[in-house]
Amino acid sequence: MTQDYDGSTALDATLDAVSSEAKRRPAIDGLDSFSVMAIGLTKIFQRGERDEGLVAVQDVSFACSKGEVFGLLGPNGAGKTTTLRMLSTVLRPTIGTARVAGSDVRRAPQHVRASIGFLSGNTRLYPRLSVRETLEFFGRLHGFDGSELEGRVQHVIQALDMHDYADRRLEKLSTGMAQKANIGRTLLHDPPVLILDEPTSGLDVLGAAAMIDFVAEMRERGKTVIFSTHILSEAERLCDRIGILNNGRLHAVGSLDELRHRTGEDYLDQIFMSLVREAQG
Amino acid sequence: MGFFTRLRVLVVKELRDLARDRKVFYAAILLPALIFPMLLALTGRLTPTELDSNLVLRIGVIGHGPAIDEIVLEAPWANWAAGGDEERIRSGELDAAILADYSGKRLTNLRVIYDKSSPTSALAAERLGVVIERVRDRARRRALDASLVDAAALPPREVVYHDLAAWVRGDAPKSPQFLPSMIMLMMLAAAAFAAIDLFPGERERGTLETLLVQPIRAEEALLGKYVAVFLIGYVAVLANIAGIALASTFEASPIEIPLTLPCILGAAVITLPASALVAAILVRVVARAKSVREAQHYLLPLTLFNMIPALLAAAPELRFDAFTACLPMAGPALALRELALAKADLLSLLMMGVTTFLYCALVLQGALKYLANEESLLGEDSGEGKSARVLGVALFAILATYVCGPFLQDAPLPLKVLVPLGLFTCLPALWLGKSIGLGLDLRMFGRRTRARSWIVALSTGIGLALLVSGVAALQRRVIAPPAAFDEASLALLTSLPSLPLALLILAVAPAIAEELLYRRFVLHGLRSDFDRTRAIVFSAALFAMHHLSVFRLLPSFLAGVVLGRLVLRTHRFWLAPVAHATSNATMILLAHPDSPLAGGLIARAFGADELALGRMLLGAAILVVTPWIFERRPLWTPGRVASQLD
Repeated sequence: MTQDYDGSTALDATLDAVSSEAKRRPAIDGLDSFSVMAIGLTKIFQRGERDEGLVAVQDVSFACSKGEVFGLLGPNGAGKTTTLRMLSTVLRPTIGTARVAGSDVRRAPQHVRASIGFLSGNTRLYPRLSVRETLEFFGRLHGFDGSELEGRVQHVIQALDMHDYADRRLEKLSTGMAQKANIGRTLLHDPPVLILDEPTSGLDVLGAAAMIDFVAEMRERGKTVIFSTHILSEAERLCDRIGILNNGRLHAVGSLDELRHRTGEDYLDQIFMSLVREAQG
Repeated sequence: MGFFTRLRVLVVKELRDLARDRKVFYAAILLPALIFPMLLALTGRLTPTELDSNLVLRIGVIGHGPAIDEIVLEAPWANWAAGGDEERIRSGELDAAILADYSGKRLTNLRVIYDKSSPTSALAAERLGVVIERVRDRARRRALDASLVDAAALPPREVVYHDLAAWVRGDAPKSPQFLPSMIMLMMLAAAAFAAIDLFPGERERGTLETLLVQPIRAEEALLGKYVAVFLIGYVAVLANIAGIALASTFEASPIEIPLTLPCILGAAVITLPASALVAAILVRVVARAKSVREAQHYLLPLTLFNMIPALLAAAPELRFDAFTACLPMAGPALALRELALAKADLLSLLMMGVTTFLYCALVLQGALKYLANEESLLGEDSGEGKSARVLGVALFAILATYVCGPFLQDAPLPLKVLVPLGLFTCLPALWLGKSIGLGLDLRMFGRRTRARSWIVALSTGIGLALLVSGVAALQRRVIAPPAAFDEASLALLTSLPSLPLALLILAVAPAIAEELLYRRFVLHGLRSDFDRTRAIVFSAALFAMHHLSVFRLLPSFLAGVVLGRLVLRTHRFWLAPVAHATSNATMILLAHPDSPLAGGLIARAFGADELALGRMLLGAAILVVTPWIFERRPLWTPGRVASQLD
């Protein structure tokens, strides 16, 4: 496990506490068979040199295999977004690391970014560009050019049924249309891993339903999908396995049946509350 | 895909995105291109002949002969007077003058003296030009028709126009003085719009993170944005130069630069490193802002910091040489001025280019280092921009006070002191207080007021007076101020008729106004971004600058430190104006002619140079010991304890 970190001496006490706990965690065998592996991910935010730091995520480890939909479930502020931001290399873990599609988030962040499609409330599109210009721009950043780029852009526009507004500026589109364009952006380079942070947040009923269908379709196409949500019904319907995150810690990981068995509860909301109480008590 | 290909993709996207923002179009193209023609139109310089056509102009004449008589007859609009020295034209007594040089009977040349900076004088010269040409034509025809060689009737061989306007008299014309700062301002405004849109604008719109999850390095994303900001600033410069070239073609334009193609190309080359540096500074500063609003707060201090060196080009005394070429922002501005005067030497130009690019690289490296931190890049560690607002308001107050000085030179003393204090100290202070969310409520009086707080305030004032007078006297041994400085200080003190009035205007009013700005709002605003020591030092430095004299810098700085420390240590703002007023009052009481203490033993000890060190030490001792006795807290508290008290 990677134990290096970028911090100053003021962080030492916090880091010592976090690291000693991480050392007690048993090793995970057979890591290479997984598409995504988080290994002791910890993120400490520090404001200024004298700040001892805020532990946003602590020692989060899980693994997802190819074609699996993994849900990170937790209330607001649980650390879901920070975990996904570390997996997508937007944030660098303070301790721990993750492997995504065979590349380490610390050592080869560019390779990781080339292999993922990341969608969150903070990844919006340029309002003054049209859908087509946006897709072409991101396609070029992924190294496509000429007829290949044109073909991919056209394919995404067709697949998501965006013909009617492909040449309109995004600022003139509805939220649902813009979200479709954003999904198109994540799919353009056909990534093996999709990381979706509360993808239905801010969407109306129809938009949210379309997003759920999209995740289901991605699973059928063999893609690994990690998505976070605080809406239990979404997780119940889509996820092969669920991780329960609260106060920056991953309290349980397993399929819905495994979690039912462990807690003795039938419904996900009851399971969730039971696991949170167990962790607190 | 290589680095440059990715960079090109990023820059093209940023430029396409920016080009569709109307604000950037207005700031980068429309305003820079049209500002000079618009200014000329507004000031009426395009149409000087549109002055009242019935206006009677006063023309002086020196020399007499048939040609002059003819000119006089041809100009019924003129009121003629004998004589026409330059001083009468400058003073406005005459609008223009004609000087006729005769060689025997022959009128050899005619000089028209006028002042182009005066619209009526410019009109007089123009009308005289028309009349003289008419008379010359007629004389030529007469000479040809009659084959008559009457020397007295021949037209003048040469007509010379002599403009007395200030900008063409010296070797530093007016236009080159103000043009560099105007070009810099246009560059800054356009680049600022772009930088704000590409950093905090993207953060607000949520598009920055989208870029960061693409397979590019964060440095590449930053460089792409930097290049776009630089290009937008440079486009504004080119549009501005085009606007100047256009305006210079107008008749009666005040732009006295020969705008040849090499001159225009030279200006385009000189502004290249300047645009690169401005873009780097903007990226470094604006990247801190989490929101567009916060970034806008950074613009005032940023503009002032950039414009002050650029304005140096307006000082004709400052030469462009290998040393001044290396001054950040001032070097390119001076180079532009010298280019306009066709005096720039190649070595200085090279020095300017190399050093400006070097500064640019250093600033850019700082920006890259800052943004390498993910929290900085995502804007999660930024403050609220209070320090920037504080800095902007304080610099504005200082500059406004400085600019206001000459206008009030002949005003009565109370006005001379109270107007700047009211307009440029109290008003900015109240605006700043509102802006950073600090009010003038009862909390400014701190906790329970006790008699010993008064003792601390009064003793701090006396200690401060001793310390400042000692330091000022010691400083005189190193840098002696000119006699005029001492005379002005004495005149300020003695010109007020009575002691109470002197105390009110010179001790109490400045204490309240300056403490309100620097201790109540600037210090507390800076505390949001800096620790106690830095906040005190920065606020004291601004306070020292407000005193507008190099000889007052050190004493004022020390006073700022002591008063800042007093406020932060006691949490009672009101102690600062009391201490400040006490310090001022002590000095007035010892020096004012009406004071019973003037000329006494204490006053003599206070003014004695040989006791300077003693006064300084005594003052320092009072400042340390009194708070320790009365507040049970030393003035200088070790850091850890101090942070608990804060």
